[in-house]
Amino acid sequence: MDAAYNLARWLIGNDRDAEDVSQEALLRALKFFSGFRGGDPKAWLLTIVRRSAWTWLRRNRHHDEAVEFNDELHGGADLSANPETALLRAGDIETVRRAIESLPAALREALVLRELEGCAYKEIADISGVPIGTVMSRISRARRQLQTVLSSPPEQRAPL
Amino acid sequence: MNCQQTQKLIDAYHDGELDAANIVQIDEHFADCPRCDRLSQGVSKLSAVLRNDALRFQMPPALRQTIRAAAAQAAQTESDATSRQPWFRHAGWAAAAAITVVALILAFQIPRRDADDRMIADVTSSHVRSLMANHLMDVASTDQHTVKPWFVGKLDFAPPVKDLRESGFPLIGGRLDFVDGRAAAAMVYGRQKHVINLFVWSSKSSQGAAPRALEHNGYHLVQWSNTEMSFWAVSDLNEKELLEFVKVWGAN
Repeated sequence: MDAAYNLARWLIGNDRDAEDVSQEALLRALKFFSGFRGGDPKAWLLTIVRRSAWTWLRRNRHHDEAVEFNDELHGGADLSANPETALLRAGDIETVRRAIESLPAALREALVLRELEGCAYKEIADISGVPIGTVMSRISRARRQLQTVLSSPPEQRAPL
Repeated sequence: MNCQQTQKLIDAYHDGELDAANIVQIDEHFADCPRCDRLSQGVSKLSAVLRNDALRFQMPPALRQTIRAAAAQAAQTESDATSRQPWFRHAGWAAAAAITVVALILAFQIPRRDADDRMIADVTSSHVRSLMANHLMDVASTDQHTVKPWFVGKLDFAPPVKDLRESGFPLIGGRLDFVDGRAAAAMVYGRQKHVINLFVWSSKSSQGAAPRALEHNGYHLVQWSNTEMSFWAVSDLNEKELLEFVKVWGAN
């Protein structure tokens, strides 16, 4: 349940809408619990809440993100990291939070599930409904992007 | 493996999602290529920053309350419905009976396995039991100087207690457990949302055994020993991270 709220909040980006969306999704999940056919209940809840969060994203202001993330299109990006990104500035927690928020929703989702929820790639693939290879490349891209953002000096950072 | 191939797999490597063959090839590449090796350290550093509970959003208490109440109501409705339908009335008992049958089958299978298999099963079930029965800890402390004295007088040996917080495996507490009929110290470590139970018991042998990784019912185990004690680490963590734990713990 906590994992479901955490994911919804990261995807939606504000407390109020995240509360509404996760409440509605969790109540619906309870109602249809009989539809649950075994497996991991955590993954099941995450799948339901994730679907609701994406519906909300599509319906609301995030029109740029609402376009289903095109992995093919973004797949051409340079995945090889600059070694300088190894010099990561940990910074304060707010800096890290803003850096994660600056990621496209699809990358943010994969990263949050992996790093904050400790999900395996297979679980993320099931929750997000994408092939495991896509999960792998989304996590790679999310990490490279974070490393770039977090390793540039604060004054050069794009305003977030 | 070249730099490009390595960098494509570097995150999966870090997340313990690669097979042994790829891991070996990447390790070999790291040994030859300081650049890629540094990249890999960069990924670990980033993960260490991200694996911070402060980054998780907590569910608002009011929402938690609403969901709990709805869950209780749903359970009530369901039980009303099943009691009205006589053919479902005994579903609970049928499930309990089925579990008993499975448990009996498992119990009778155990003597047929060899001692090693029995030990693996025993350690794993101690781990699972500790999680299910809400009996993870007798002494909850992140301080090794609290946990270590707690074992004194309860065991006929002094288990080494280490806190590995700085390596990402904080000590959570300790517990007295029984494995294969003998008293064992169980030390509990955390890794994100995962729990590692490290079982230690006294077993004298002329020589120690290097760590070996095992798997049982989806749980990973690593076993090693020195001349005084036998060590078993069990977790639902992936094998790579569990081996990392064993390494930083300082197994021979």
